[in-house]
Amino acid sequence: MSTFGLFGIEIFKQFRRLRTHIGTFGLLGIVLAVAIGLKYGDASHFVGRLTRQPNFQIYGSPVNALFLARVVLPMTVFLFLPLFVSLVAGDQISGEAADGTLRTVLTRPVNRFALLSAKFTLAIVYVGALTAFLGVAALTVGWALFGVGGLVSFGWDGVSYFGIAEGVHRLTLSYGLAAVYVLAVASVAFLVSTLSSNSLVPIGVTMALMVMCGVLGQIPYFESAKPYLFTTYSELFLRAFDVPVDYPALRHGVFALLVYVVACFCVSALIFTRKDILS
Amino acid sequence: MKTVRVTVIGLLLVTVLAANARTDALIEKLRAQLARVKDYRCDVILNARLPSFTVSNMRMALYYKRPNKLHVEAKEGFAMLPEEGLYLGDPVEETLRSYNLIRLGDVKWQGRAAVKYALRPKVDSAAPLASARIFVDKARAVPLGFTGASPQFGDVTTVFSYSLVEKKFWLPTKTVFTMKYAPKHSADGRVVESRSGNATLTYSNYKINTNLPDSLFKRPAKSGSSAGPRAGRQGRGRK
Repeated sequence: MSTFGLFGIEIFKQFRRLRTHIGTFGLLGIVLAVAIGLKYGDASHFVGRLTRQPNFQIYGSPVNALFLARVVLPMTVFLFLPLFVSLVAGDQISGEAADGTLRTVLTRPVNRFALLSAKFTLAIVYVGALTAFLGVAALTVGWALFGVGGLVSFGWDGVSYFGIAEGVHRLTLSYGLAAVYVLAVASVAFLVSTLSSNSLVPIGVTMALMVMCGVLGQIPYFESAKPYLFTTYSELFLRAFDVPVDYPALRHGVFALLVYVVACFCVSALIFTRKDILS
Repeated sequence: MKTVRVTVIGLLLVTVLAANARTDALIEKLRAQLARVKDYRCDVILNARLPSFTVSNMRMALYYKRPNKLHVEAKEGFAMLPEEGLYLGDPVEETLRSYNLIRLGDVKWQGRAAVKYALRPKVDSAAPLASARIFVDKARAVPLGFTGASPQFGDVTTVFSYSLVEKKFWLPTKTVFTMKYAPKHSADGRVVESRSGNATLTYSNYKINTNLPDSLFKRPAKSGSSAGPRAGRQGRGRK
């Protein structure tokens, strides 16, 4: 069976699994919680940073659909998105092994590399779909509660405002960059998945690696290793709101993350095609 | 000897009086020209790169009515405007309320023949701008711009570009505000802080003398909403 055919089967299987939808409901819950907080709670945490701008007169409110999409992204990229994609990507091989179905699947004349490719493609699609869902959910909920307006973004070096068209463009770029980072995390989970027969192991190892790499990146002694840690690029999506956008830096970050993705897939393929399938 | 002294003093007096007369003539012509605009409404787009604040295509509708009433509507839900430097509404009336103008002479400024005036505060108070100057276009009798030094913004310059609206009113199509602080250097000569910046307002779709209702400018100010009436610069409280 071709990779494409296997991919169709894998999508069907994945859609029927409960854990596939945990991420969707989890992210929707976060979006709703933030939106309700902004609507009925005190939004001064965000708005206050604007009013602290000296010598400016403020008209209207910065809270709108684009603002909600901007606010929920950092809240999810560092923990929830990696966790939810690890749930799915980390379950691809180890889940089948744990369920005892992997051996059954491979007793048919199925090319192992094709099966792995189909499962990896599924992980990629899931990362893209979940990140896009976060953006669409935030924009939809934000539009319903606050309406549409220009995008106010808070960065390290101050406040930036983008008109609606450019705001959408910046958000799209930011969500795309976030997806690439989350894809790198998913690739790590996928790689660990080929090593384990327990689907909890890839999730735990991936989360532990994220924390460990994050800590290493903060220690000056390991400064030289920083460019090689995938967590170094975890904040890449925030640079989509820089003025002007530093595209060479973005390209470098995306390239580094894609190297992780390709390397993880190649190592996964190497392991999986040579592995003794015992369960 | 006495005759010579009287003649010199007389000549000086005549020169000063003549200079004042010229000053008044141009300023009065300018005021008269601007006073023909009783009210207007226009679309405004703000682009700015200021320290800690960057704006890209912020769209607003600006309403102005004499005397000194200003109302801004955010067209995309939200807008921020610098309180100083952009001289919305009638920049000359606003300036003349706080300053006396002293003619300094004819100059060429922004490629146009202009008269340069010094701005002297009317009352002994902390003036927002030191060494403030206004440049008035001799031919069109419109303000070409301001220069000065501000403790908050450093060296500031505001330049107005005009077009003839409805074939009879010279109104700004663009206002460019630039600020330039002398960069601070570290001991090894590196620039550690540079606070330069600029803001550009682009005006379009003027609707002039449509008798805008006063109620438009009397909207009560409330937090996080549109600003209320403006009663001079002093009344423009920060929210």
